[in-house]
Amino acid sequence: MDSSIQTIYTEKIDRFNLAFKRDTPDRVPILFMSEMWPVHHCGLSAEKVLKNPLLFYKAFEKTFSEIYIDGLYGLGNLWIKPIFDALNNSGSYKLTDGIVNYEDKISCYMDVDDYNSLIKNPGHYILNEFFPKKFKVLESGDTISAQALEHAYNAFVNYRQANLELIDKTENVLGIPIFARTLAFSGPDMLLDYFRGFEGIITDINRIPQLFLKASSALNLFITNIKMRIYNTPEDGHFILLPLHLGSYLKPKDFEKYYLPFLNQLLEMYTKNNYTVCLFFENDWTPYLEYFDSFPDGKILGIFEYGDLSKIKKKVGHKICIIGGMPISQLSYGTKKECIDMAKRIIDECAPGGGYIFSTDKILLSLDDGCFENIRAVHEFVYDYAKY
Amino acid sequence: MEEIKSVEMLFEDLKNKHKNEMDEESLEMIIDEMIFSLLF
Repeated sequence: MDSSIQTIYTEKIDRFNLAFKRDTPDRVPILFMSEMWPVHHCGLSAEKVLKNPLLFYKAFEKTFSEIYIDGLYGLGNLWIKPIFDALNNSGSYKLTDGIVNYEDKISCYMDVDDYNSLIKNPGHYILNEFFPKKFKVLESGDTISAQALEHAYNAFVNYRQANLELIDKTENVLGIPIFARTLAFSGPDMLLDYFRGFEGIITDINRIPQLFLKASSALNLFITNIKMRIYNTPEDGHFILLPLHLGSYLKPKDFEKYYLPFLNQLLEMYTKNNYTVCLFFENDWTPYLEYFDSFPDGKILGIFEYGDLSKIKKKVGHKICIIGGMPISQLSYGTKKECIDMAKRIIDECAPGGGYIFSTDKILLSLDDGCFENIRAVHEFVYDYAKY
Repeated sequence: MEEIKSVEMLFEDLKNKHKNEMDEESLEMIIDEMIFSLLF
């Protein structure tokens, strides 16, 4: 890394690190959360950049020469489609603007009868029972299966390489840190997202709660062990991104029993091993804020999609660093003045005392998620105004 | 007659096939990441 870029990069990382520790940096860091927004801003298509990762980098280079940012939250599920194509699976996910999203009902291949097998050995169940159901080509276990797996491996290696190159160039050439080093989930969220779907999981909690609890526990340990192998050296200034899904759909009484213990267990395992964890509170978590007092001490961050961020900071700012605040709806439809007024109010309410990172309330996906002129004006304002 | 293998065995074969391309730890890490991504 060039020494001038190294200086810029280090300044930005240090700024975030202080905020992560709920301390006060020189000014409020600006985090950008996007997937294909910069690509479309540069007049490119998802299809084009996913075929040519260098174009993706060029989109970052142009966008962030025009809009000031201190860091990017992560990259999203880029370049993952060819892996599924190699295994002839086109039914369990939906491709939205080049990004893979799972389809709730049709992607859940686990039956109620499979619970005991999953509980006994999650790794064995996933490989030998779940994957053959999800990827029919693996069911026969013959040469055709082996060839498909080989193609998927090659596609995965290409995907991984493209991700690493984009991260490397963005950090080392542009001096912009990309924070998420890996993505993890809690046991209950894995059961919801990958195995049972929303309808299945709500039924299971009501009808077979003990199996749900045992499976959540087994998956919690299984996935954390894998994640600590994959990302085995925790670094200051980077985090494990943990999106939270099921929790906010449960009644507080159920939340306490079926979700909170697993979330706390994950946080304890990661923070004890010196990892920084960024919780992405999808949906509205206002009714659950009182439970945050049970979180362990450590570098825990929270991105909030909904709720009054000022009240959230007052209530849980002593436990976690708060990220978010700027509504993308305002950036899309408001005037420049309205956006700056909103940003000023957010900074005035959330910045005092540190432990706050300015960002949008949701990830910028399509170009409609935020008007370029408004984003640029807001970031310029926060850069100048939000100094400690 | 062709041997029918479990997916776990297919992954072991995959590891053996690629073991000379990188150190064992890196290969294990890539396979772990791949398995996780296939859950999506």
